[in-house]
Amino acid sequence: MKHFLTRRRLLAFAWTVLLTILLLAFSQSSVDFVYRGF
Amino acid sequence: MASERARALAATACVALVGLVLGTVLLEGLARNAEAAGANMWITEEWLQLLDRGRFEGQGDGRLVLTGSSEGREGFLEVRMADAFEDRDVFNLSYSNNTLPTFNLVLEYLEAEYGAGSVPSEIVVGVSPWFLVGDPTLEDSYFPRTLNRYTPNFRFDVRDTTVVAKPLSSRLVSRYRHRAHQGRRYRAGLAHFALTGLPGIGGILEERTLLPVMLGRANYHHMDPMSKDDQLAQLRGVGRSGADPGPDRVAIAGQLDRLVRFADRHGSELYFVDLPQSSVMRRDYFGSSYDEYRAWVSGLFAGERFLDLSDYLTDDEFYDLVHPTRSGAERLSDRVAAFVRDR
Repeated sequence: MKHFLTRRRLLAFAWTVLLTILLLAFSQSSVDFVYRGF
Repeated sequence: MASERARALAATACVALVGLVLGTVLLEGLARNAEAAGANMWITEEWLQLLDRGRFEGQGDGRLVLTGSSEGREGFLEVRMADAFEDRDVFNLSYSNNTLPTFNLVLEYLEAEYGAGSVPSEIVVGVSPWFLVGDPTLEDSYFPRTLNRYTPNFRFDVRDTTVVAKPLSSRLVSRYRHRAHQGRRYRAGLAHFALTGLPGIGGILEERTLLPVMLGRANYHHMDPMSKDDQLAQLRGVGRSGADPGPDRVAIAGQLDRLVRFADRHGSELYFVDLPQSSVMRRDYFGSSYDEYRAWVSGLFAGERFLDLSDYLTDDEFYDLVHPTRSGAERLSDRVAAFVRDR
């Protein structure tokens, strides 16, 4: 197990979690309708 | 040697894939946690809450739904009203440009998509001139067009004013679109976690950031009121309809009958509240058509539980011409809660 979890793989794992969160939650998704007063 | 390298790369890719899944599960979990706590997940896109299956399926029993157009979104404080009732789950299902025909379709959509168990036990319908007159029309409204992009199984048929099943190919595409359009909901989940899951920091964030606004229902309560003269000039330039529907009264009565029959079929109680409009809106924009409107409305709802609050708020209690400020919404919500409780 220790041999499998190399530093590089742990880093890849952490980066993927972080990038997934950033991409899914903060990427610019289109808004279909914007209410502009009247 | 090469195969060893390929194996190492494959293992790294697998680890990254697990990270991808974990990131997604984490966001989805935080979003569901916020939903369970009653947070609003879709500020400025409030119509998309209709697609949050977990908020509707099997949850109609004991639920009091508040609906209306943006006046209802700003004016009905669901948390405050929930405090007024011990036995009801209060849910604000108001959205920009809601109209009576749109809301009829929404109820029929709930029944089709989530089953009869999703139909609320009680519905407070906040009416206003544009809500009743049907401005914007179903053809012009963003609502059916937008929702149809994402709904999993059914779509709003504007031409036949009904809800119909989608073909399989359309179901798959719209499900993908919906999965790819969760950013606002996921940000709300993260915001809710930041406010409630981080001891010591949550209180600071609550005081110094707009995160609580993001999780609330109202779009305007944190902003200073606007000039009513400027708003009136802007509104006159847009050219929206007056308050008196003229010959469309028969069709509107038909839409009301459709709502009443739907409620009767499901054993739901209906309450109608004529929502406040500022004096500038009533006198200067609608003018004499507002007198016609009030006379017509009192006859239209004669057989229903109806509360006229059209001049209940002072002009200082409006953010603009029709949307209540926070303090106006508090007074309005208390009055509506008393009306429902004392029926």
